[in-house]
Amino acid sequence: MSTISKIFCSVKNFSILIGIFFSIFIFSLNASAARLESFDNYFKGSSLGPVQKKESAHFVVSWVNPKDELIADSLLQHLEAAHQELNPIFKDSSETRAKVPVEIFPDLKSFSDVSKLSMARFKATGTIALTLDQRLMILSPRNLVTGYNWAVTVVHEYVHYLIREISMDHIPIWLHEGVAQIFQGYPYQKEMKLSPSQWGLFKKSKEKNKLLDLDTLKEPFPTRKTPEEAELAYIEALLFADWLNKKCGVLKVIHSAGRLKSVEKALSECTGWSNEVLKKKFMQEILANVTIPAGKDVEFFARDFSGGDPLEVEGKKADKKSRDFAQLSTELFKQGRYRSSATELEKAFKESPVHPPSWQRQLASAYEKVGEKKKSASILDQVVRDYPDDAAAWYLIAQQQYKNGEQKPAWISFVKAFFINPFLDGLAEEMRTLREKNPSFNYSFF
Amino acid sequence: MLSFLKRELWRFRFYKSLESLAFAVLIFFAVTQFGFFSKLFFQAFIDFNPFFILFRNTCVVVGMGLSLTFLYFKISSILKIKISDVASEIEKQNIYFKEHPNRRGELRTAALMLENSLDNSSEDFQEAHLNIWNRRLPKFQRFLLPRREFYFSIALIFLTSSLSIFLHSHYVRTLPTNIQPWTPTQFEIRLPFEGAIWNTQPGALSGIASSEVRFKTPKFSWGLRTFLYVQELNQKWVAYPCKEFCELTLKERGQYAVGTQFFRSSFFPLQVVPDEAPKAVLMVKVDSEWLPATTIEVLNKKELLFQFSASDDIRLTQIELRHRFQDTDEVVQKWSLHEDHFKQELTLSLEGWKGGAHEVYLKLFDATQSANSAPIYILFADENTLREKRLQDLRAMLDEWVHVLGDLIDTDQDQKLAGGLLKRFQEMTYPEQEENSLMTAYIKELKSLGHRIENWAKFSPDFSELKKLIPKTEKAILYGLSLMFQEKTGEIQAAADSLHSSRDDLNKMLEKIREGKMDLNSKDLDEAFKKLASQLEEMQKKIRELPQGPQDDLLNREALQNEADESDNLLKRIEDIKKQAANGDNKGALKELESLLNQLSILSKEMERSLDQWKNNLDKGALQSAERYSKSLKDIQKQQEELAKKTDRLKEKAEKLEGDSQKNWQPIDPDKAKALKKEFAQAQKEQQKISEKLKQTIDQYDKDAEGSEWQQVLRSNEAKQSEEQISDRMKSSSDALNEAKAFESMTNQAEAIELLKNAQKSQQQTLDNIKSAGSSSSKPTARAEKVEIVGNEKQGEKERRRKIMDSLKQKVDDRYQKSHEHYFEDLLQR
Repeated sequence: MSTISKIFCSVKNFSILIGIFFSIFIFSLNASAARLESFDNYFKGSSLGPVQKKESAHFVVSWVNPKDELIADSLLQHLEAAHQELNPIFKDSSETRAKVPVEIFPDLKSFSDVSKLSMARFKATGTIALTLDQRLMILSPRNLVTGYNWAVTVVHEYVHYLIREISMDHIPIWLHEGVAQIFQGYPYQKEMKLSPSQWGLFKKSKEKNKLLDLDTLKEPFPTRKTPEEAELAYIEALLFADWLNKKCGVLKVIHSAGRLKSVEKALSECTGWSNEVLKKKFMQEILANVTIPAGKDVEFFARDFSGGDPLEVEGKKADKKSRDFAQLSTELFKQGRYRSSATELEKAFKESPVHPPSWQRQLASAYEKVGEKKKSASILDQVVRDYPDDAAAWYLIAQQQYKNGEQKPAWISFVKAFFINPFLDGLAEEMRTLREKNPSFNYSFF
Repeated sequence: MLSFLKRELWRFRFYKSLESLAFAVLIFFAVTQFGFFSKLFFQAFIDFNPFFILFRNTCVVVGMGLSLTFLYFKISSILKIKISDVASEIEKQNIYFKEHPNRRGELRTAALMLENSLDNSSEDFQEAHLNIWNRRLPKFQRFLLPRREFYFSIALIFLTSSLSIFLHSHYVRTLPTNIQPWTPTQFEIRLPFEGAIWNTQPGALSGIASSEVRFKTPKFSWGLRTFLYVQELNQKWVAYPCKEFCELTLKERGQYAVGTQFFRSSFFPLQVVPDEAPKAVLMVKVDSEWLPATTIEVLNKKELLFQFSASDDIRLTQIELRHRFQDTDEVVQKWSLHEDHFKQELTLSLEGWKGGAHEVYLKLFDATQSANSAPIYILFADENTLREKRLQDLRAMLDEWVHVLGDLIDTDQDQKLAGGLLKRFQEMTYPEQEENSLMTAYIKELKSLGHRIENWAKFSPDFSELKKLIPKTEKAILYGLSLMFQEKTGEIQAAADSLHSSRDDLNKMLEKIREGKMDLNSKDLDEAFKKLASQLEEMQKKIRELPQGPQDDLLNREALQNEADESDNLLKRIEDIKKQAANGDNKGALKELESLLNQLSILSKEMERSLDQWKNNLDKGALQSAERYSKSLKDIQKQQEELAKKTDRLKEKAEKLEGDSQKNWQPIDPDKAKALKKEFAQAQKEQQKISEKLKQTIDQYDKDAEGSEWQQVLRSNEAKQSEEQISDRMKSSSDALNEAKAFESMTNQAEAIELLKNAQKSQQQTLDNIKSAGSSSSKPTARAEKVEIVGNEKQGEKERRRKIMDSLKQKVDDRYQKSHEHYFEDLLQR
């Protein structure tokens, strides 16, 4: 099972990442463009109601759909926690500047109107967050069926913001994206991390000598020939930024680029190599010496999917028998034959290693219904290990923990689900109930 | 003071005027009442209406003249009243003067001074006098009240007018008490409809309400007028003066008499029958039998034969055959009539009827009222309804089988027979299906599997058998689910077809709009849009309802809804076009409409492609392999037939050798016997080859059908049993050939050939079923027509119906026709 563990989670994140990365490209294009319409002005007289705001020491969050208030407090809390960690790194003189505006757009249309990007582009790239005019803009997670990791996304955007605070110009797109990816997991995830699908793609490209050179990385990422090549650009940007971070500190490069008004000079200062040498060494040493983690999941993505979506390609190959058993399991589940339903799903899992987390959740639910709680919990633990962004699995875990009287762990699991899909049916109500019993619970993971 | 007195002068005049008016009215009423009562008195003697009218009118004119003259004189005198008269009236009424009686007359003097009617010799005195009374004015300045006569006269007006009205409205000619002999012989009656004629009837007055009756006025005495005295139920006697005829419009039953002012005849009953609502019996023909007021289920039929018989006590004016479905109630056919009975047979087309409960009934009208007949309820099943029913049946049956699977899995895990398994089979019911359908084949297979599991559970609970039974049950359920999927895709196909036709309609309308023959805001276009919108919604719903595997229900429902809403883009566009057209932007609307039609065209093509893809997915080449299998069976059959001929020849040869040997009393020539044995060995080899070919064909077919949704029907137990039988016969044939038993071999071969033919036939039938299932939505007429009575008819009801029908068939004398019809109507309504 762990072979395919991160396949789905990485693929699921792919479009979101593309969206996040796309943001920096857009912001660079818009840097010299006319100022965008303000959030307050656009939503003045909106049928959704008045613009509402909440602020913390360094951020002010605005929203217009009353439902989006649900994430306002937790968003501020998460950003403040990230700020406490990032501030010393970016050496930001935050005491003297205005609070960072964070805007939650109620729908894609208004997001498109204010950002002046066409709806088609949003849909094509899956963009859900942007940093434009030093405003952090995110699409409300209400708009996505399975939500998205909005807390990580907003920190990613904040890193772009901080880079631009240091140097408005002179920072190329690869450096922007690389640095934002390194720090997006703050305050909880501080290590650089590539998903198995990204490692797989990198491995495949490396073996086929299709890695992108430094000059190519300077060109806009989303306009690469294929989505696969665009993603490769993001991966290489992260790997290079990480290499620079270890070499001399990536923030030092950014500061130097701002000071020297040239990234090439800053890179020479850091590496001691000329521009030409760096270009050669980028391919021959830096990328060549990257250690690719071994693992079946990486191997899986290193296969040739002829440019298609790996999950889709693999899904089509999925054994019909496996799908048949899953279907029989669903029929049995609907008729309340939970034990038999679980048996049929177990058969499905034996037939094929590729199956969506919803199957595993159904199996866990079936076991829970027949009183095999430990088995159910173990399956759900496996699901969140394989798919950490599966809000529904976190939600089921939380429910089980709550039933067992484990209120604190239940709250943490609820929070994890909340930070992915806060509008999941029933989640907010159960969190409210638990919080009424334990007023000290907050939106911290630990 | 002058102004005060002048104001009171007008008030005084007003009171006086009202008094005068009251007296004028009194005079008028007195004279007219005299005229009225005089007229009544004289009417009892002479029948000369113009004189009475003239007399009454003269009385009215005289009354008015007298009143006006009186008023003229009174008003003239009122206008002559002066302020001094008013002052006198004030002195009479005002309490101030009662308290100061010595000052009476002083106000009048002052008023006279103001009228300048006194001489000018004492101007100073006059001035001083006026000044004094001006100062005293506030002490007595009150409104002049009406005199007592005023109240009297108003009361008089009220009384006289009330009395007059009461007398006019309540006066009845008193019924004389003296009796004189008179007997009614005959009368004439005219029914209440336009153009009705007078009919003579014998006896006392009788008839249908609202009819007019009359009889020749009997002359009792010279100089005395004849009256028709009528008392309707719970009413007072009313006298109707007769002229040439005594006439009456029948309203209510009661009694009547004829006579003069001073004597009358005995009382006779007045028979009035209330006007009955028209009646009808509507019948539908089911299996050569006419059924009234029933509920029938109609499957796939194009028309129904109806018959109705309607009647009314007066006259039928109109009959409407109406069709009611959901909120619509429309007239299918209309008859304008002038008869009291009407019978008709008609054919009602059911083309275009939607599935559901329909009502067909008659609405009948006579001259005064209308009524509805008892309806025929038609549960009409169109292709969609049939499909829906099939799906429901299939779903219910599958749910039961899912429990069977659950029981089997539980049994396997516990190694103990699940409690409810046997009971489940005992209670299990299977839906009735049309012949030669995939469902029939499927149900047959399920029944067979059910029997197998039931027998296993009853007699030999060997749990190792579950390893075979569970997969078989799983396959059966999966095949059922795929059948459901096919039905659903059929639904989508039907929806796509109707969408296609709507698009064509819109295209035609667009052409008309371009040519200026149609307006963008026209009702037809609006209707077409509505139809299109509902079809789009229906199709989206059906696509969403396609059976799927495990579904993720832990989602953000709002986002899910938004995604669904986004697919309603076409519906939004329709709304936009309507708005544009409503705002007068015809150019923009036309452009949008063209674009919408293009989009619809793309959607239709995509839909067709998707449906083809679904069908291909279901098939997975199984149909081609089935055809290959049929062809192979045919080849095997030919080979077997060839071998049979050869065996026949061998048999003849063997018989000939045997015959020759017996004939010549010599043993069989060993060379010839050896040659014959060799030929038998050769034939046996051929038989083995054919057997091998059959085995290979079966194996290949099994392999090809594996994984296909049609596996369950193509490789059914029945088919496999048949194949086993063929193999057995071939083996027996081969063994017989080995022993040179030609006759025995031939028997087995003949059986094998017959079985091969049956197998091909059965296979072809299955293939036809599969093909027709794939296009079931486009061939609704292929289904058998059916009309069934749905109501749970008990024996007694059946007999009653039979009796009514027999009664209807009877021919009776015209005189009894009416009562005869009443009889069967009563029976029907009982």
